[in-house]
Amino acid sequence: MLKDDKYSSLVAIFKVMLPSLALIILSALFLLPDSRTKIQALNTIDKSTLNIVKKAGINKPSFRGTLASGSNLELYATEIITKNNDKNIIEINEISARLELNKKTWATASAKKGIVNISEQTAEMVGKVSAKGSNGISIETSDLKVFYAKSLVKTEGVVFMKGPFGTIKAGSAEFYDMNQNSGTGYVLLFNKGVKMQYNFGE
Amino acid sequence: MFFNVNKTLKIFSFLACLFILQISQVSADTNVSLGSIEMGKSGTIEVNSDSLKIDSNVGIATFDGNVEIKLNKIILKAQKITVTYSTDENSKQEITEILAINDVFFISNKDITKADRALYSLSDNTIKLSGNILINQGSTSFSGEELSINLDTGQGTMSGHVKAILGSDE
Repeated sequence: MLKDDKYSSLVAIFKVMLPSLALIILSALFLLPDSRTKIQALNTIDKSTLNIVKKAGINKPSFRGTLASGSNLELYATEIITKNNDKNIIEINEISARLELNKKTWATASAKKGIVNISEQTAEMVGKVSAKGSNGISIETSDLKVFYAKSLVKTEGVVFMKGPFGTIKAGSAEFYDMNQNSGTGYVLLFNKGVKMQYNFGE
Repeated sequence: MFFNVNKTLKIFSFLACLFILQISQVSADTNVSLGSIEMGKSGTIEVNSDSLKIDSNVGIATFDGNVEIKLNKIILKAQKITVTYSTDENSKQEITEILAINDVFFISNKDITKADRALYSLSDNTIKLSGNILINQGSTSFSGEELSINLDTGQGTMSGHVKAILGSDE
């Protein structure tokens, strides 16, 4: 019986560690939708979202409608303040939003403050930023900035993700398209120290 | 001092297999065929690294800088771990291989396996270690340049200046 010998213990280490690693990676990949077309929502909703915010004006701190991409968007805020006359910079207090790509795929987000810069095509969420998706994944961070022209989403502060896969904590995170011309593919980058935890068999 | 005969015999059996097979192989490779051990059915896997990059264009996830993966008392350390997965939209998202490079360590209690490079292929469930391999198991150690193990069968081949030092664990 060689079950307990040193060689088989080495094999056992590999047998336990390597499939486990594969498991956690595969789980992490499910952070993002399997179909790449869904990722491109960032590209398709950009201008219509910004136009909606621009048209919303100071008297309409809520919006419910369909975007150019066909997705449904709901926006609520306690206050919307324009920072200059041409409404290029808009501050939104106590913002919450719900984006519905289809009946089964949706995401909600909220933050203490939102800052939309129409001319620079950026939207920033600051203070207790949290987002939740229909896939059971929730994200919490102190700040989140969307660069629509670059199809880039970036956090400067610590980001915490929780989902069926477990948890991920990182010093900062970036999400961007690699090839804006082809419109396919994305990169998700966690920086400044990454800690992933995955519980299995529970 | 207590002399563990059973353990020593097992080590000796292993070494005997190792050396006999080494001699019998024209290629001077070492083959051993041993049983397998079941992995745990539940637990927590923890991964720490300086950064993690998931690139869907090429289907590669990279843990970079001081990578440490813990599962119960088993630890895998490396400077970089690259995970390749299928990017075909029509197929299921599957991992094809995991590559660990630079200062690769597998640690389990007192057992430490070190190599420059470790490649785990999921298609044939094999792991290939290469470069300055050193397996330390108590007072027993093995070294070589290449080690290939089929994780289904437990059969392994070690080659390249294979050296074994037999000791007795007190």
